[in-house]
Amino acid sequence: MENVISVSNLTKVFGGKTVAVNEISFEIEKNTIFGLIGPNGSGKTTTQRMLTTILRPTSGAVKYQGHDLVHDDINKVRQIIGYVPQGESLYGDLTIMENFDIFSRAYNINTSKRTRRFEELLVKLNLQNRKNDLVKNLSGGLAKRVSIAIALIHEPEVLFFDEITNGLDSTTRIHIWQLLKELKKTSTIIFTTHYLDEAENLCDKIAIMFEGKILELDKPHTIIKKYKSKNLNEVMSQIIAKQ
Amino acid sequence: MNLLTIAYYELRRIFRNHRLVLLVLSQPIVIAIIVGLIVFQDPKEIKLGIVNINNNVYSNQLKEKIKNNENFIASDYSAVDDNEIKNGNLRGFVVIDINGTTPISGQVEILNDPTGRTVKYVVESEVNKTIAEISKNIAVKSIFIEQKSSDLTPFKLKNFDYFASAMMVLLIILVTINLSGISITTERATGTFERLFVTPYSKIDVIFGKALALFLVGTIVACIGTASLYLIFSVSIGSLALVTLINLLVVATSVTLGLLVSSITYSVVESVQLAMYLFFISVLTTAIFTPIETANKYMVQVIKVVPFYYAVDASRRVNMVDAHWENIATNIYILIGTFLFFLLLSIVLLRREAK
Repeated sequence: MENVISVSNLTKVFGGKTVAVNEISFEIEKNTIFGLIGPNGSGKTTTQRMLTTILRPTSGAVKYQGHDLVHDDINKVRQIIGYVPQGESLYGDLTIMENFDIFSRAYNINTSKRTRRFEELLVKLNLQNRKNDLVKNLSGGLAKRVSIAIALIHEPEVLFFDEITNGLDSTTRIHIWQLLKELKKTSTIIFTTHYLDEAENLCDKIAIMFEGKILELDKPHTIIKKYKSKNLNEVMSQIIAKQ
Repeated sequence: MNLLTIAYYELRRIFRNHRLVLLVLSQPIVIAIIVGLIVFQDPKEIKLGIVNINNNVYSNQLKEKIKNNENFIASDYSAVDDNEIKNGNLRGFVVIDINGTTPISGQVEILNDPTGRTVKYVVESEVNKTIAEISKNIAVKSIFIEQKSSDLTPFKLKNFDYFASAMMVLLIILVTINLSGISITTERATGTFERLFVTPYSKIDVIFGKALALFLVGTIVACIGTASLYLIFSVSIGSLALVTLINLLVVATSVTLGLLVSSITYSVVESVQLAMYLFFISVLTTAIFTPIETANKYMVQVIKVVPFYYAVDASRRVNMVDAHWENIATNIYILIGTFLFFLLLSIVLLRREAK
């Protein structure tokens, strides 16, 4: 299967001494869901921030279908990625449509295509009736749907989700899981999460990070088998106990 | 044009927040009115105590003339009483000590309250004028050299005009530096900034877009501020084209300084603190309270690297002595240079990531 992202010896050092990510390497196949999991401070968010071009790596290489994140035109990478941050990260004083507009215009999509895409997303995420509402008046679940819709506007090949289900009720979580499974048909998904059951159910492959390093990199069930455990929660407990 | 998208939505967000719009647009009017009413006129109705030691025809003449001076409310005292100054009842004492026999001699001593510095100059000048009149009457045959003093200006200036020219500049800085100073840090706090930078929007798009939107808001503020000062207090205005040029450059410079503040700070609180810090430095270094001649010689050099000093200096010269382009060209070039420097620096120092 074709690799969309290749990461080799990726390192991030803050302030010359704090090693947040320490020479990690992995590859992500097309149309799969890849999970970065680990306790707080394990380096998963820093890794994701480097992959989404927010942070510049200290060393190592990241390649997106041949585009080098460090040496090539970074905008080529930004054109093919979509990012859903942990918080809502939306303009509360703009409407849903205006939020769609401000983010979509960065991609130079022509007006008719953009309008068509907005309508598709409103239907797909069931936002049609609220499209002219200010985002600050939406519930947490609705705002999360708007946030996802914005990341999908330019039909990205790679989608990043940062602890997307944090703070959401179980019904909304299930809706988002279904959405991720559907999105996997057209995009490659990388997500970080604290919920290990989520990673177990959704991910084709996971990387378990601890103190900036990848300790395990495989399919969830292979890792569970390796640790002779029932689920990822037990695996994590064993890993933490060993460290 | 990505920067136009950023500018359009920045404006939309500002104008959708009605309380913010009210705060921003009311500031120039309210502050102009308050300062205008405080610095309304030359000191008048100054309370003085008069001590007439000899109580003769000449000293009485002098006392009556001082008492009849419209600037003073003068009362008789038998001796100087420090407590009247300490209690805040009087601004000073005039002690008349003139003999009544020929040749006329003696002295008039003015004892000032140092807490009212500008009052002191009015008292001294008015008492000296009165003494000169009396002397003229007494010594008809003596040589009397008349002293005249006037402002070299085609305008009829009032006390407030000195402050009004500075106010035009400072009102703009107050509003725009605060507004632009938080424009990036607010977006960092809500996470929209991080999100913008995962898209192909560049640093130039963001800074230019925000600068354009805030420049338009600042221009409205400048118009309201200048119009308030002119319409309410009839302050002296020189060439309208030059006043407009100076004000627009102040808007551009303070917007880019605010964006620089926002680029290098990590939180909204830090941005507000730094913006206010810079605003007060600007106020103090524009010689609004006292002329630059009162500053320490090293401080004068410091003042001359603060760009807004040149804006206030140019504004005063245009509005108070009718200076023309050639008189203020250097100030204008300095403001243009500073605006470009701040713009460049805010792009270079803008961090994509939050701390």
